[in-house]
Amino acid sequence: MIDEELKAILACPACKGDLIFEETRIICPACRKAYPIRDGIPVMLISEAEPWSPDR
Amino acid sequence: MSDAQARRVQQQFGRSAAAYVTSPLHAAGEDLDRLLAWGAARRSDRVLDVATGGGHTALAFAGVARRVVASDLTEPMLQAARGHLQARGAANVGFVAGDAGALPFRDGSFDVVTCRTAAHHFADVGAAVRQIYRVLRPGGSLLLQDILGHDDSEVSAFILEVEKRRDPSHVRSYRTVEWKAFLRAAGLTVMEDFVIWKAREWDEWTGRMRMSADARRELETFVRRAPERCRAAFDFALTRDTVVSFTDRQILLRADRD
Repeated sequence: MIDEELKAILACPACKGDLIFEETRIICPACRKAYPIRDGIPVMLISEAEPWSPDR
Repeated sequence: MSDAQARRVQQQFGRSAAAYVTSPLHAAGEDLDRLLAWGAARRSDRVLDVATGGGHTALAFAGVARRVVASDLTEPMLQAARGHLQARGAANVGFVAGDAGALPFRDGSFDVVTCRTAAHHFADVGAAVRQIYRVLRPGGSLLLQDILGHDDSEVSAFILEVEKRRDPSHVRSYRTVEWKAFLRAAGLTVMEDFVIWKAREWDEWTGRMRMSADARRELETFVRRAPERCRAAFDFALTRDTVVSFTDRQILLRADRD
């Protein structure tokens, strides 16, 4: 579970920009990357990010 | 962090995670007491523990901070740390997988950043220190502890070889003058620094990294054959056929963001 305080301070590790929080992933719309949430832990590693596009 | 170095760290600590949670050298010590005293004297509302490992520093700071965030490159290490801290009743700690060289936090998010017994694994310490500066609020403090590099090049090469044989993800340790240069270059001002000695029991130290019996014997042979002055620099205690212990120096630094 990612609480509100953590959401407020998390940023994209690549561009430090705003994130969109979903149930199972965290999206950086600027980088078009999705970072996984595994076992309740946000995995904010550039190497673990999946490509993401707004129309999917 | 370079991908190759990141993989070395993840491989090394993925399989050693449990041993780091139970390690008495990591759970307590003069170095942790000093970091805590520094933290308690500063405003430590929100604290980031970079490269938390077994979570010991995060747990200690959970007692003085309102909120702690523990980050680590290795997911199994974070899961082990989370289990450890939950069992100890620390409810104010959050966990994030992150790279010290690309911290996933907004600028100025933390009052205090701690980094204990970790920087010698970083591929690029300069980048990590710049990231720490960025996530500290103005007036915030970095509280850092790590193995201290040795001034003598032969002694330094000897202990680096010992460290790397035990832990291939060990990059190197830095001297006080090098640390001060990294911190200054990032914009941090060193407020306090000193050095302490820390004794290591050989069996625990090599066992924690799950060295095979063969690798351990080879390392013991390497230590035995090294120049006496190299062993003496770390107070290596040997018996006829084993290594008993050694002592290395650790640097502690408090550096503030203006």
